[in-house]
Amino acid sequence: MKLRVVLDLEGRDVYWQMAIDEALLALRSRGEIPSTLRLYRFKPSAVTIGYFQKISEAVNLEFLSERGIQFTRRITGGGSVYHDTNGEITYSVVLPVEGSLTDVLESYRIICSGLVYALRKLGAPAEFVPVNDVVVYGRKISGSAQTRRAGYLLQHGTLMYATDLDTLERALVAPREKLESKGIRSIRERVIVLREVIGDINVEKLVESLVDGFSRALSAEVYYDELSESELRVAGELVEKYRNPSWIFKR
Amino acid sequence: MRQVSLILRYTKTVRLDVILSENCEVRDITISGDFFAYPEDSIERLESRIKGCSSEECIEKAFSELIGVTVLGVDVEDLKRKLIRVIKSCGENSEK
Repeated sequence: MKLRVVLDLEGRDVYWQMAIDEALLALRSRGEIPSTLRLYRFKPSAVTIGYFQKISEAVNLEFLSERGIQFTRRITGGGSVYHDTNGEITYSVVLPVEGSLTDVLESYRIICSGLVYALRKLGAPAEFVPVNDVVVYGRKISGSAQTRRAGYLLQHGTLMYATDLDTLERALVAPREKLESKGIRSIRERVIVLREVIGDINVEKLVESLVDGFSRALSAEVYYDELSESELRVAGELVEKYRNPSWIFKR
Repeated sequence: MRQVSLILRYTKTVRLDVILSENCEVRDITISGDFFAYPEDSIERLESRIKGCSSEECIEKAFSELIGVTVLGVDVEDLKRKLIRVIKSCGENSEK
């Protein structure tokens, strides 16, 4: 299979990033674009929460307001995420649901193996932990979330290479029960950034490793492209949803 | 009106917020958390079906319509049992 790769690393705000991901899924499911991998950053740093999360249970609204950190709800399930402009690369991929990607759990494993390959290539002993995590030394370095529409899937996820964990810990709320079940006291004890594992990060090399990793995971031959006008136009139609308090505070 | 909130820990975490009327009928319910469901709106439809329920049979029926839905990170059977227990214990408390 051929996989179009869009390196969109200049950075856009959280509302646009979520709108672009949804636009890619919509256009892919209408057969208007090919299967696409996009690598991007959030600028400014921001928070996203999972589709089913109650906002008051997922983020520290007072802290986000104090710091002026933007936040929105994703169309994908899963937990809350702090996206650090200078410490995290996000990936999104839109693919047809077919073959081994049909089973949801298996599709998480296959797509997340792209991250595992990339991290191992960089010297970090990464492992996939179902449902949706990639861990190094038992600590989470990447989380992913997937939605499916009309026979196509969108999966997006993080790779923390130098995320400011103090801000992450203050911005997000982890249920006490979740931490206790993992035998830890704080979110910080549960996560790790790549810099802690392999030292200073060359972002270019990291991006290259991710592209190679996903190419291997999906047995795909990659080619590079840019976002098209139609993708940006559809995203522009969706962006207001992500800014709308009735979407953000819907739970 | 009574409000009951439960936090249930599976692979993922689920929070159940239930508002019950004086006669133990579910007036409102929110099932929230960091889990995954495919399709996503199946959970909103489940919440709608549960509203108005005051019996185990009604809850059983609401959950039985989750056919073809994939829920990851949650023991749906256990979630259903916990919800039935909420309704039953409301009824028992009302009788006291």
